[in-house]
Amino acid sequence: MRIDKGSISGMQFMFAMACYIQASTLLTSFVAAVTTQDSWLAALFGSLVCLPLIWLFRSLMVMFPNQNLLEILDEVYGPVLGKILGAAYCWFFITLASINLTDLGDFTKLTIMEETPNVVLLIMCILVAAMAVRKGVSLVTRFSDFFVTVAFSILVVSIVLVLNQIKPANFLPIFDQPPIKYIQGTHIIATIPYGELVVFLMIHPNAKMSRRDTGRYLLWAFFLGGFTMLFIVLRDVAVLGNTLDMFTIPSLVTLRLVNLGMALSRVEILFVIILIMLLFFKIMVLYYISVLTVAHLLKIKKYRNLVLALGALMVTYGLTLYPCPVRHAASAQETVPFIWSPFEILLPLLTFIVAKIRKLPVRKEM
Amino acid sequence: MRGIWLKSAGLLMVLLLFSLLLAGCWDYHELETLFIVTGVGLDKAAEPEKMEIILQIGKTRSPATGSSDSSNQKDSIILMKAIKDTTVEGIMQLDQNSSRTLLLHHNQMMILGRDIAEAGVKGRIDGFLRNQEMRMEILVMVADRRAEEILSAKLEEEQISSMYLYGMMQDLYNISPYYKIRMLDFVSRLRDGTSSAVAPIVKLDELEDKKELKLEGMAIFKEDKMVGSLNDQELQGYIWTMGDVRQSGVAAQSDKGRAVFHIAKLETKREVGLKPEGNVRVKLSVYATLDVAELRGFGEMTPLELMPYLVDLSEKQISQQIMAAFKAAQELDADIYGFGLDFHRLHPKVWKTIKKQWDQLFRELELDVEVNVKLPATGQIAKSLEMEDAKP
Amino acid sequence: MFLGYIFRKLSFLGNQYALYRRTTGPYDRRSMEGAAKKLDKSLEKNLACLKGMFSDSCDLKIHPLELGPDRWPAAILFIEGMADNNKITEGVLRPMNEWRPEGTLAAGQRLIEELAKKVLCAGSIKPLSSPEEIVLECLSGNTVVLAEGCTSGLIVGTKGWEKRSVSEPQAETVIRGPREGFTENICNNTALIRRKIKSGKLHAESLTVGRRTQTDVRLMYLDDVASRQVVDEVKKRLSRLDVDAVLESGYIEEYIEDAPFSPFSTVGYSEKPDVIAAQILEGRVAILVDGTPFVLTAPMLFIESFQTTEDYYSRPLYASLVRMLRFAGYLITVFAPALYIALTSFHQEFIPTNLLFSIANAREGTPFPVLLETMGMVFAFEILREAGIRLPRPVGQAISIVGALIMGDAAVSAGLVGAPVVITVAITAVASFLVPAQNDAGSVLRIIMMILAAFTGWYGISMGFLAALIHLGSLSSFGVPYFDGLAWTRDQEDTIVRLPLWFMIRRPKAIPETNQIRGRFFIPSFRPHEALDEDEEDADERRGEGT
Repeated sequence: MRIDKGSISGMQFMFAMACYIQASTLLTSFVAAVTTQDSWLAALFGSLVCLPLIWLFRSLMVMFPNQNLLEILDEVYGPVLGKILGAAYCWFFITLASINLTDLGDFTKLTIMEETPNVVLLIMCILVAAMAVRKGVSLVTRFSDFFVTVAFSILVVSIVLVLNQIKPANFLPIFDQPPIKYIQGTHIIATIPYGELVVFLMIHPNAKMSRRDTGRYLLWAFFLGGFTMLFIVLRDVAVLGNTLDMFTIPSLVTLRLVNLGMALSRVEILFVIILIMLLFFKIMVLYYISVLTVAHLLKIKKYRNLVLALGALMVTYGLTLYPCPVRHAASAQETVPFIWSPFEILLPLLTFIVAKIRKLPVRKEM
Repeated sequence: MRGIWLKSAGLLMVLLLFSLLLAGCWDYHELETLFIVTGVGLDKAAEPEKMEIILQIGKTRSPATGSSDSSNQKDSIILMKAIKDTTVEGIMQLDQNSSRTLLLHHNQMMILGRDIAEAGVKGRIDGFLRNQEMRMEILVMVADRRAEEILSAKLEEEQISSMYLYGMMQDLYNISPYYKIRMLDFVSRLRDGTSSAVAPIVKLDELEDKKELKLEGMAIFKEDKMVGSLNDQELQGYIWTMGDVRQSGVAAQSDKGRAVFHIAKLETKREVGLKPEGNVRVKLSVYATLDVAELRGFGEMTPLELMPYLVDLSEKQISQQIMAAFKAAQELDADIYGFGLDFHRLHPKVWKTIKKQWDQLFRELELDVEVNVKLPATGQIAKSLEMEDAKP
Repeated sequence: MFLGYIFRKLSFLGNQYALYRRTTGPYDRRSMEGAAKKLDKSLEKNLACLKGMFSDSCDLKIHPLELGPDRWPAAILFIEGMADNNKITEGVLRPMNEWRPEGTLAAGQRLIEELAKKVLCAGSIKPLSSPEEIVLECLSGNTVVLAEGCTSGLIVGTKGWEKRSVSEPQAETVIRGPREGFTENICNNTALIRRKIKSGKLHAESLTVGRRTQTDVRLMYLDDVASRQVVDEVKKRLSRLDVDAVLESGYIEEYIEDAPFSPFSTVGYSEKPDVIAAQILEGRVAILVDGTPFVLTAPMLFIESFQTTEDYYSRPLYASLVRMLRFAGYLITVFAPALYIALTSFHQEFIPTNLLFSIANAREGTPFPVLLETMGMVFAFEILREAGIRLPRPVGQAISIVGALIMGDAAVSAGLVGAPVVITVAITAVASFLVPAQNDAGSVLRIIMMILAAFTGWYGISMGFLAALIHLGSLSSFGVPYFDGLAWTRDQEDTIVRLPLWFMIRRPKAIPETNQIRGRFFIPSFRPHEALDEDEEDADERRGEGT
């Protein structure tokens, strides 16, 4: 049962994933607080550690080219256990969407709209996202390549703008922290941007790509997103040095420091552009996937009526999730990676192994 | 196919919602309801534990009425003052008492009064870091006496003294980035633990008919208290030690005459190491490319002799000034160069063992200065008028 | 209460629309009332019947005749002004008067045949027996010949009326490129296109639309290029049309477009044959409507509005520059006032300090909030533009001078508005002329963006921009995604930059077609004389060998 019959090209799928990873890089401040000037190492290690994870996702996509995550679960674990796991994933997706929604609200409040109530910002965002979600997967992923291009160009421009402030000495000393900090940092990077790619297991049947291309596209998306994250962290460390861990949003401070004469200063609007654009994309994807999952669980053929209801749920959930941004940051550093790991790493791995043992999928030949 | 109609109805709803919500735009501040703060000053108040918070506000004038006004020199700034325990309290009080909202985003600098700098600043600037409206690029300066007189000064060139100072620091930044101390640099040094923060000192000169703001050396902070300062000569030495100098000059005097050089480029390399005896040694190599800017005297020398002599002379001068600055810093136990940080970066393992006694080590630190000067150009003329060969 | 009314109205319309959509299928032209099925034998009866069908109009001329020596009664009918008097005199009246048939006249049907074969001299002559069709032919300028005892009439092609000759179009002017434009005459327009594409594959198809106006509509497309689906879709929508009147192609556009409530138009139009020819060559369908020089094209892509013919007539480097300028201009015209509002009343931190002081100085003492001030100026600009267009040209210029210079200056010096607002709105206004095809959409978006900006500043603008993007992405024109020309990863040869013509070997992928290849790829020799030199050398060598 395919609810959304829209189809997207493999390239589109790749850009959607790349854009999704890029969107997560805005949260690098969580890592910065843990590993300070070695954050780029954490980013690098995190990315490398995730290569097997990418391979795992790829294998699942190739093994079940026409089934989304819920259908895979159903097939691998049987209808009852599969449904229970599906419901758990449903909770996971909705929570993820709500958290990102809160992030957008918090960051916007921190950067440009200090006094505007969160709820207004969230509702505006959800309404716009709903426009796209109602139209289905092709519209949701449609502008990902545009977003990636813009984000990349802004990244390049921002690096050029802060070139005169970069102090290479800021990277030293390397490996100055206790090892546990690096593990923590790596874990954060592994679960927050990369592990979340598990959501794309929900829409891969809509992507038209061959077996061979699946791995290639995943890898490209991984590189595009990974490089963006690495460069952002490198830039921030090089400019801010030992003050990096002081700030809630290091990238914003970095861009605020730009000063090339009187005219070319105060360019933090660049950061705000990426922030709103990328987080919006991430929310839109998660929103769409939550709607799809719920429709799937409830066996609803037309999910359009679900859209606004689920949006309202996400706004309220997001608003009550954390009492304050500090708690949010603390949980992103300490608890969230552990709660997310089962969904992002263990369950896919288990599914893969069980599927291998049960010799699934059974080829229906004639 | 009802979708279109539902959609348009939804759109209409959204638009109506927006127009209703327009009544409560939270961050909406019209420009004419704002006071643009251009400078913040902190001074010690008469009561202990309290401080004076001084805000300098650039006044906006309507072009229709104010342009031909002779009294506009008087009106160009507004000075507001509050006496409170913390900065933010002071700003809040001023905000409530003024007719307009304060806009702090365009604050150019924080000026610390000398007395407050000497009393310690760590507890005073938290508000500057925390507040989203405070940017890390604002300049930190120490007033020679009180911050208030700097902020209230009305100058010939620029009526808002903060803007004048900002321009001045921007100019110095082109000479060397180490003149300009932003909040970020200041805080970075304060957080570092071993390095000492510095901040330029600004002094108000009251001449008969006008006032002048001048840069008067650099304040040195130990921990977070100002303990002393570098004078102009030492400041130059400090800047040269830090390297990355792109302009400015060197003036050297010898018994044969006086020579002034332009600095085309001056770069340094520092090597920090631990000597077997247990004290720290820093090897500082200065690579400078100079141009001859002006010569006086040197009458009895031929150009051929002169060039090596000038190289030697400038090398001596540079090394002497660098050492003078270093001695001044060492006397104050203040590692203004960040040698400790260098050590930390290069030898993180050893650093852990010696971090505690860095003050002691810095006091005994040996600085070897090696200056390499290149003097490729003599300016437009090869010989000076006073030289032997030049005389017909 | 008011809201309730609106909702009721909307749902009513929604139902009607659904009903209408369900009852697809070509509509049957309702027969005219009071008309007989066939002509009668009696001439008098026929004339009375036809007269009735023309509701006794005074411009219907009935000219009785007597044929031959037998004085056989006959009549010709035509409409004054629609038929060419010369043609009637030379082709119908004179031959019929001078006809001296040998022997007795053949009666009944034979007479008509004889007339057609031997007497009348005109380009097209055909017999018709249904009064309805006769009326239609008559209405389109032909002359009808009726004779006593005949149950059919002869239609003689005498169309001809006063018409404008081909002249330079007013709306689309060019510096380089053909200067001819379409006229109000559909035959002429068809010929103008055919002159550009001399191919048998250029298919023209005729339809009649409008119950009362009976307007001629022609579809033109390349049979082997245009996609069948699109052509069928256009035909289906045109055939579904059931309206009273079609006076201009705008009527048709509104009835067949995909998204009637979108600010963006999904049907293109042009007044220039070379533009339409280019569109047809890319696989689009042209819809010509009689009585207007504006020809529609479908499907339309968003990117089309940014392409002008001159891009292809001037050299690619400059054309690309201008193309980018147009994109920038469009962004400016939509976002500039909104940005001004957002920056001055929400995000003063993004304005450099010196600029902020000058803006603040200008704002000091102005009585209105920024939103009202900007809205007012934009409104004033729209008024001036409308006034300038509608009035005769010399007066229009006077209006723009009075409006722009005197009123703007006075408003600023009186302290009613700040000078920065005037500058912003002026830039907006000028930029809006860069992309005339999207001007109306731009105006609507501009106002929405301004309201959003006044509500939540930059966040509002961002959300507005994203919403506009998503809206554009969801639009389609005749089954073709509207925004497809701007895919960022493929098919880039003619979007933000225009690559050299020899590089565009395929037709744009966004418009579906059956025949992709436009031409063979070849690189023109960059140093044309080089080859020549080599040849000469070869020749020299050969000569050397020879001696």
